[in-house]
Amino acid sequence: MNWLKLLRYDIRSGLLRWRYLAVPLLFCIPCFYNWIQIQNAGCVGTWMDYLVGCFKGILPVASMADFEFPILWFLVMAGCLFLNLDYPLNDLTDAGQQIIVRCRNKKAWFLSKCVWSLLSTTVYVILGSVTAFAFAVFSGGSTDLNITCDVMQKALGIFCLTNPGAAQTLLVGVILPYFTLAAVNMLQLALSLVVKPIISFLTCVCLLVASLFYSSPYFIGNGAMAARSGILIDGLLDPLPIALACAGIMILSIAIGMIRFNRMDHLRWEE
Amino acid sequence: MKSTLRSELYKALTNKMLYIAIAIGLAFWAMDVMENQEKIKFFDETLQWAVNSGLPIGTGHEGYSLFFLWSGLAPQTKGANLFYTVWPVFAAMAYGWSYSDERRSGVYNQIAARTSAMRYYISKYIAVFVSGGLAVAVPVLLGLLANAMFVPYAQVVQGLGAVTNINFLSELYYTAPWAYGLIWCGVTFLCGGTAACLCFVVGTSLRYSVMVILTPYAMFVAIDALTNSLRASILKNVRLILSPLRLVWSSPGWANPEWWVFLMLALLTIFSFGIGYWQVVKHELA
Repeated sequence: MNWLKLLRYDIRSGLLRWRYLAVPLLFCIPCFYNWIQIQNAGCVGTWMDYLVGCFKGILPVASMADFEFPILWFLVMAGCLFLNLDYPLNDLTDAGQQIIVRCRNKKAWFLSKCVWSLLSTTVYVILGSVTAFAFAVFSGGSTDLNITCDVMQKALGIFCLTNPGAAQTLLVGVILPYFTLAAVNMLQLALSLVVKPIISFLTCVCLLVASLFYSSPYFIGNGAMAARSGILIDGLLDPLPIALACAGIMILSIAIGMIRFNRMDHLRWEE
Repeated sequence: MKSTLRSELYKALTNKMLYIAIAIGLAFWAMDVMENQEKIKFFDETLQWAVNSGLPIGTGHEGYSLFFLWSGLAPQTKGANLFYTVWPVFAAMAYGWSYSDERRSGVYNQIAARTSAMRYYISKYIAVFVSGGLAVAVPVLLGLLANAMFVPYAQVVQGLGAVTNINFLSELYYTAPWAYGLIWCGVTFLCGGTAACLCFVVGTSLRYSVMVILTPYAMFVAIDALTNSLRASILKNVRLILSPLRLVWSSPGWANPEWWVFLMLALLTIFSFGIGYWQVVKHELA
């Protein structure tokens, strides 16, 4: 069976699901909070202000006394993990068993799930961006691809002194969060073949929470935190090591997942 | 009823997932104990230095005592932060998945045919509540006891502790801290049980057990984020704690008087019990 046919099947049954409609609702919560903060600060937010607000995170933690858990950031990150958790496993215990037997290619099945995971993350980020766009439009803001330094400082608490430009803003607000989410999702997919799915979810959540305490590119959640980006604030994290770390985690996860999946007996997989 | 309940409790308390949940929770509390040990070491060194330098400083541990550093008040260490970020998952993974699992596998039909759907449901509800409560409360209690082995005990001086008169049993915290700590472990048990029972809300609509386990957590995180957002606008004047995710902190930064804590737990319990009852009793074959 052609690998593309498998992917087409995954797109049809894994991406066209009702639950994706919940993503805009989920992004509405941080957007609403940012809208209130922007109103209170007396500013007008742009599209990118709202999007950067969704992936704001927290500044590097100097002491535990200053630590405040960023629940809105966590909601956005864990929401994506939750969304992507069950489809590959559901498929493995359902039609997937027949498909693997007929196509006689376990690698193709697993690679198709990896591509599906990337596509699902893409859809998640796109839906989030569209929600932020809608908020910017309906709140009377602009659809500019630049951030507003006033909004960053007064409403979001990110002390950004100069506007980094549209390309750099896209990197902070869209591309790096996308890479981070894609890497965490891939890790979750690989781990769910090794340990119980709930343990794989917990591991990824713990990695995200651990990244709140350690401001390092090797703690994976930092890439999706605008408040720790060296592009917005001088001296903080450089985007290149973050992107490399995410790529490394993705490649490693695919390799581990594929080795594990090749060796396991998928017919005895417990639901 | 008695035999059904006994069998459900036996299944709940002897299943592997309960012990895994407790073990992971204990691992996080072990991190908390280690971090507190570091704090105490640092404090003792500073105190020694101050005494040697002849500085006019007291030798008490009031600011670094057990009930001052205890993360049951509000997470103060990385380990406790991790635990209190995911505690509803521990509660639900203990036994919360069993109801949907048994309905999908057909075990439910066998049991319901021999006893009654109502008896089965109530027994299952109690078993899920107890196991969920234990999965959260046991690590908190053992964490407190483990901390007590390393962190010196001193009665917290009024005005120094994080608990104020808007918090749960605040007077007891300053007069009988051990009683306060144990009572709070009991409240944590109730919180864990309540969270675990929210698994009944989804019934059999989710096919994979992991999604059932994550349902209470997803609900709590969404409510927390929503109330956090609304506090900036229409709920600006509400001083009560609204997030069930932070209900397990005895000093969550918002008012949590006794009546409010129990009211929230009761409402959540009624909500999950009501939906589960409706599914089981009114739609037996669903």
